Amino acid sequence: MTVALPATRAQRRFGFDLTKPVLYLFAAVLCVLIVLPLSWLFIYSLTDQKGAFTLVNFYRLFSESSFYDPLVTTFIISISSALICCTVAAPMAWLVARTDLPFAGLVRALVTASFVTPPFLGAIAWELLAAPNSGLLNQIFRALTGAERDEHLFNIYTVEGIIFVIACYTFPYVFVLVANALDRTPGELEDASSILGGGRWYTARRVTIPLVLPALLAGGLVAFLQAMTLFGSPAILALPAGFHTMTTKIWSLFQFPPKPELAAAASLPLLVLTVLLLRAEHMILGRRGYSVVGGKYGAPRLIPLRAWRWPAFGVCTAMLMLPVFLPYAALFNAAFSPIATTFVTFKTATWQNVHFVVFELSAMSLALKNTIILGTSAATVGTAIALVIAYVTTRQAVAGWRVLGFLATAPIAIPGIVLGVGLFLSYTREPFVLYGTLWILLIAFVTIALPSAYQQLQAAFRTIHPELEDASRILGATRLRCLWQITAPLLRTGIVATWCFIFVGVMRELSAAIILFTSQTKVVSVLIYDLNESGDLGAISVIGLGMLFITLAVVIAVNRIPGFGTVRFTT
Amino acid sequence: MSPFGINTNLVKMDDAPKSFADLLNPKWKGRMVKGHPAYSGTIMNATFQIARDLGWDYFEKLAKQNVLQVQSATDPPKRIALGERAIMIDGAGYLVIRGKEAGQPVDVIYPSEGTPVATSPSVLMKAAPHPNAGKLFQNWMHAREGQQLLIDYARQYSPHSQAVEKPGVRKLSDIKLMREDPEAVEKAADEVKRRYTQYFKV
Repeated sequence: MTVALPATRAQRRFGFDLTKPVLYLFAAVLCVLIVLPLSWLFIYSLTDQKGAFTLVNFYRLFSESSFYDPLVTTFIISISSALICCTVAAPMAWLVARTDLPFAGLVRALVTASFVTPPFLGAIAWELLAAPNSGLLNQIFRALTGAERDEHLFNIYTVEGIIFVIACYTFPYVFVLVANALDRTPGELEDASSILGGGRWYTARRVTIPLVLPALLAGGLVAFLQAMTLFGSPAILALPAGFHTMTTKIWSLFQFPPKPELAAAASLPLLVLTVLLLRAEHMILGRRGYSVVGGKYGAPRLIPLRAWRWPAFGVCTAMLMLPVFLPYAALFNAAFSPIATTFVTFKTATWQNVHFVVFELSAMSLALKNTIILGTSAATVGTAIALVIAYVTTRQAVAGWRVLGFLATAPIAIPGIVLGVGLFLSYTREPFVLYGTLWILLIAFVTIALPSAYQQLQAAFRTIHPELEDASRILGATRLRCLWQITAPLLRTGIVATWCFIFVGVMRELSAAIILFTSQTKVVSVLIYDLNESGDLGAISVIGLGMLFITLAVVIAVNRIPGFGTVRFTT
Repeated sequence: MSPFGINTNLVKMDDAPKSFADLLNPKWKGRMVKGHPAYSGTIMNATFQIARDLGWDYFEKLAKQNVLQVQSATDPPKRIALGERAIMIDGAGYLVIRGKEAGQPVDVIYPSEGTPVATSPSVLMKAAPHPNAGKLFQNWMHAREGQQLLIDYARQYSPHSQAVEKPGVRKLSDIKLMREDPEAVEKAADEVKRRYTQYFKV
């Protein structure tokens, strides 16, 4: 016997559905964040000092050697470091993910440590190590070989030096992409190859490597882009070496008296090149992009290295000496030594640098306060925006979700310093004069962090089946309520990971901050840059080590707190 | 003031260059550090004065000496203290004096053609909230007490007739100075940067 129940309308708690207005609001915010600075950039590049339309800025860009040379230099540096990154990172990733390398977890952790180190701090540390006359390594070389005072083994103030330092801190990008791709390759494919008679190396050559080639290419492109848009390392090493890169040239155009039109015109080639390369990467990788998704496939079979186990481990460790052990050791030495490039002994060790930073450096407490405020707010705002936009695009919740997805990843195509210039041009005019406040820095940091936050959360969303949300909506919840009460708690790990990622990213961001800061809104990265400009290497080492300590503490704490799960940084 | 500086471990005082002309000696190639006028007001001022008194072809010759370029005027004193280079061509002289007193192996040399000099201006804002307090402060700052403070703690030079130099530091009256001209520097700033970049490539 069937009973027909009267159909009851599901009761809603609130009067009307807030979903659509909120989603459209987030979409509008996103548009303003991205489109506004870019439009001002275009406008400024096409006008002269009095505001009339002109192409003379571009003409100067390609005819004057003081603009053209940096363009060529940047290109050379970027290609070389991308090649080095791929050559070093790919075998290391293969060793870690596909063989029985001992202490593979340690190698991964060290790569994370190298990823977490800000490139400008690495550049300063390598200055301490490899400056031609005062560098620690060169001092050791002279002591061991008895060479003349003027001779040196390494000179960091050269194009090769810059390429080396950039490669040191860009190779984690390639490593992560290739390692993730290798982790995701189903074990079944290699099993099939073995069953059909292929030996270990044959399988590696014909099955595994072609599968990860797209990831490797994508990694190379990312490394190229990173190297091209880096500001910190070139700013520290290029001027003493006697040349400019595009980023340092753009920054130099902001020295008194500032020439924003030329800066805007100089920013556009970087922007165009980035967009083109990202298109190429998109075509190579398809829509997979960067994400770690729990595999439903069998675990890959590890290739036994046998006699090569420990030599392989030795090579990996030797490689990781360069971005991690040596620079950190140099920073420790400088932090406790009266003169930064003398080897510290128990007799000469001093607390004066720590004392200077903590008690005497007046800008320190302000910079620290600003950084923490900006870090936490950028992380919170960025995660919230990324969460909503990721939800909208994964569940296709509003019209035009494709455009939103595009806008959310668009900032990758904008180099940090270009964004800084665009924001400077947008917010130094009525009605929103935000220059000189923390707000403009917040906007910059959120915009820069948005693409990776969005991609991480999008990948996390894909692991949650829509059934759960559908069930709650059938029972009467609005989309927004369902997002808040059902989906977000399930995404806890992803949200926390994204929050940490943005926080860490804000601490090391220099390219945009260097254009947008003022004396009251200085952040720690800019402070370190200033201290390097005035040569206070001891103070820099103390601050840099403090920064690294905080970052590592955040990463470890988040990994250990029960309920948060393990956080792996993916880019 | 922007004198020369030397690292006394790397260069003996007797062998050190005593004038701008000495800097062009090939034996100093690759051993000097200099600030960049595009990034520092002090250095812009110094570069302008040197260019005016010695001509731009002096810089053309200097550029061939493989000079290490740094940004701020406070960087060259640190570089010679680190031992990275032996000689500083320009930079904050007071930092070298303070470094010497702190035991660093550095010393100042005042070039014979004249030392570039910049008077630090001080300003009272028109719309200041406490203008009278400001005037009182400026009055004190330019009297003997304030000027002596600058000498004692910052090792700056003061033209005040009653201010007393520290022992071991050369008296202001004994130093040959180049002539200051701030208005001309303001007009010529872009030109100075352009010509400097032309010779030094950055």
